[in-house]
This record gives sequence, C-alpha cells and structure tokens, in this order.
Amino acid sequence: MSDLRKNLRNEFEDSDYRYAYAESFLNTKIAMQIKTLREQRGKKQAEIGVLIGTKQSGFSRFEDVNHSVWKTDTLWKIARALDVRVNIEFSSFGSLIDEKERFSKEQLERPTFRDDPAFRDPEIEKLVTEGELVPAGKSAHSAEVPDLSWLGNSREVASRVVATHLKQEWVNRFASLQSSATAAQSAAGGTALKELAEAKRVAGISPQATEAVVTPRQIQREAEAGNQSASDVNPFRARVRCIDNHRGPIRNRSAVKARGLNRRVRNA
Amino acid sequence: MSGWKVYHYLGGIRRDNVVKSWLKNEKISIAQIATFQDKIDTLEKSGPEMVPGFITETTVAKDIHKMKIKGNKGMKQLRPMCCRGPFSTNEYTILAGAIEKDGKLVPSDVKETAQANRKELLADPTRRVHERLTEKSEE
Repeated sequence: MSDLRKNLRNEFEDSDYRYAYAESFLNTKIAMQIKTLREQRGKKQAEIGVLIGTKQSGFSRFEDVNHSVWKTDTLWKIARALDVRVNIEFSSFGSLIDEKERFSKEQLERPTFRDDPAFRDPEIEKLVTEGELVPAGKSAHSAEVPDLSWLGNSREVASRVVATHLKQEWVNRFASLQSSATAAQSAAGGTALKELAEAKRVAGISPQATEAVVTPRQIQREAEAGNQSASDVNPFRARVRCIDNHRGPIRNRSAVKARGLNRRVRNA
Repeated sequence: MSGWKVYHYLGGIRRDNVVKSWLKNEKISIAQIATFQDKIDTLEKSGPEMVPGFITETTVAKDIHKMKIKGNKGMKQLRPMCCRGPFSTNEYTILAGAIEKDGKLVPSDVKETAQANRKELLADPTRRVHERLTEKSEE
C-alpha cells in the first residue's frame, strides 16, 4: 500500500475532509487538463479565449487550480474549442487515489475527433500503414523524388515536376515562359540542365516536360485567366487523382484531407 | 515519479511546526486544510507544473514564493510563504503562514519573517520536517 493511500485512508474518515480533498483535486484536474489539451493543440490562451467568447485574462483563470466554480455550459464551450467531449460522472473515493497516482500530462491528453482512432477509416489506415499516405507536413516528395535542391526549394520543384507530369496539356500553354526558365537554368550552370534531365528520367517524367517547368503560382494565374477552378490545376490534387487511376478511387476522400495526409509521390 | 517534497519550517526554541501552528491559530477549517493538503500531494506526486496557480512563478520577495489556496464563501484566503529548496531543486519549504484580507497579507511582515526563517534554515538544516498537515507532531 502506498504512503498516500495509507494517509488518505485515515484522513478520509472525516467526511468534510474527504469531500474538500476530492473537490480540490477535481478543480486541479480540470484546470490542468484544459492547459494540457490547449498545449497539445499548440494553441495560445487568447486563441481558445476567442473561441469561447472571452479574453486571454478571462480564459487564464480556467487554467488555475484555485478556480472552483465551473458552469457546465462553460465546460461545453471549452470542450468544443478543444474538440473533445465533456464527461461528468459520480465516482467512489477509492478511485480518487488511483487517479492521483496516475496524474500526469500524458494521462490528461486526448485526441481531437479527427485523430481519434475510433473514427479512423480502415481503408485509409491501411494506406498509412503501407506508406501510401504520409502526413502533409512531412514532405510527401522527398522520399522518392531525386534531390533537386540545386534548383531551389525542393518541395516547390517537386510540385512543378508533378504538375508538369500530370497537366501536360496545361503547362504546354506556358510555352512563352520556356525561354525565361531555360535562361535561368543556364545561368545556374551548364550541368544543371543535364541534372534536370536525369531527374526527370529517374522520376519517369518525359524529357519534354523540361520545357514546361512552371511554378504553382503561374498555374494559378493561368487558371484565373482562363476562368478555371484553381483547384482544377492544383498539382497536389491532380497527383492524388492520377494515382487513384491506378489503384481505384478512395471512398472517403474527405477523410484523407481532414487527416492532413498526402499521397506519396511514386516513381513511374 | 517526480520525487518532489514539501517541507515545513520548524521555528523557535521549541522547534514548532510553523505551518501547523499557523493553521491552528487562524482556526482554519478541516475542509481548507484538506484543500491545502491536496495541492501539496499533487505537487509531490507530479511536480509543480501540474498544479498551475498554486505557487507563484515569480518571487514576492527575494527567494520567497507565495502559495495560494483559495477559500470559498466565508473562508480565509490562505497565502503561506515558501522557498524553492533551499537544499535541493526538487523541494519546497513552507516558511511562514499568512492570510490575504482586502488584498493585503496578514501579518504584513510575513515576507520578512519568511526570509529570516530561510536564513535560519540554511544555518541549521534540521529546522524542517516533512509531514502531513493533519499529522500529529512528535512532542
């Protein structure tokens, strides 16, 4: 038996003591969990405050263990802002000791609805396990597209390459840009063109695509000029669509987007 | 486990536990003592970052921090003074007791008392004890 359990067994004989102790711990737990969840989501007090209709100073008191007056509608507002539910239940005093023993930041963390394993699509999970889907922030390209850092930001270059590959008919309309792009590459050195050609070969992209290297911004501009939907020429979406042609459609596409996943770029 | 400890200063010739004496003199209710003990238990179990608002991050006087135990309607606002250590980083020592009334500390010289007690403690490390607020002190 732990020292804490032994001590509380005696002290809890007094009902005023045990109720006050339990109330104090509940206040500590709520305050600490709000703080933990906010930090887990990378939010500032002011940001959550806005979501629940209060200022930073007003919200900060919810993260103080001395705050003792909790209104259920406030708890629901905070829960909504943190994308979790509120769970109120009656418990035995004995379980309080277990809670206290396990009390830690990790134990207070909760996933958002989108990250909740209970609601994940098995099909998408399979693709994640197989490495077909990768978190959007972790550069879906770097793993399999050759290093093009000598051209600048590798992600941007990869976007260009993919856009070129999938939207050949689109980028061909940028023939007028070819001269300036080629001039820039030439300025980077004679070997640059050779390396680019090799990169295209490794990535399975037509050598002619070299002529059509354009930035996503240029695609965007062209889309606007042609009254096209910007998303219609978004290289990332186009890439997903292309790979789907080989593997069949993903049923829950919105779930892929919501989880912040990208299709991994694959060599042809 | 965090391994934190909260000690009580033993003052005077008789080496009285200043925290318990103060709680007794102020006639602090058992409910407030329970609240105080809960915060100490949580701090000792999980560390001070798990009880935000219990101990002020900034000092109220040199080396002295203020503890806050809020009292509900009609209860006293407990504001014991403590210091980090002073012999190890993972410990606090409660040096003197005070209450807050109309935004002022009572007794008003509690910060100075806490600083003096800290000095005494540094000179004599046996002037402190680790025990629960409800525990009967050895005579």
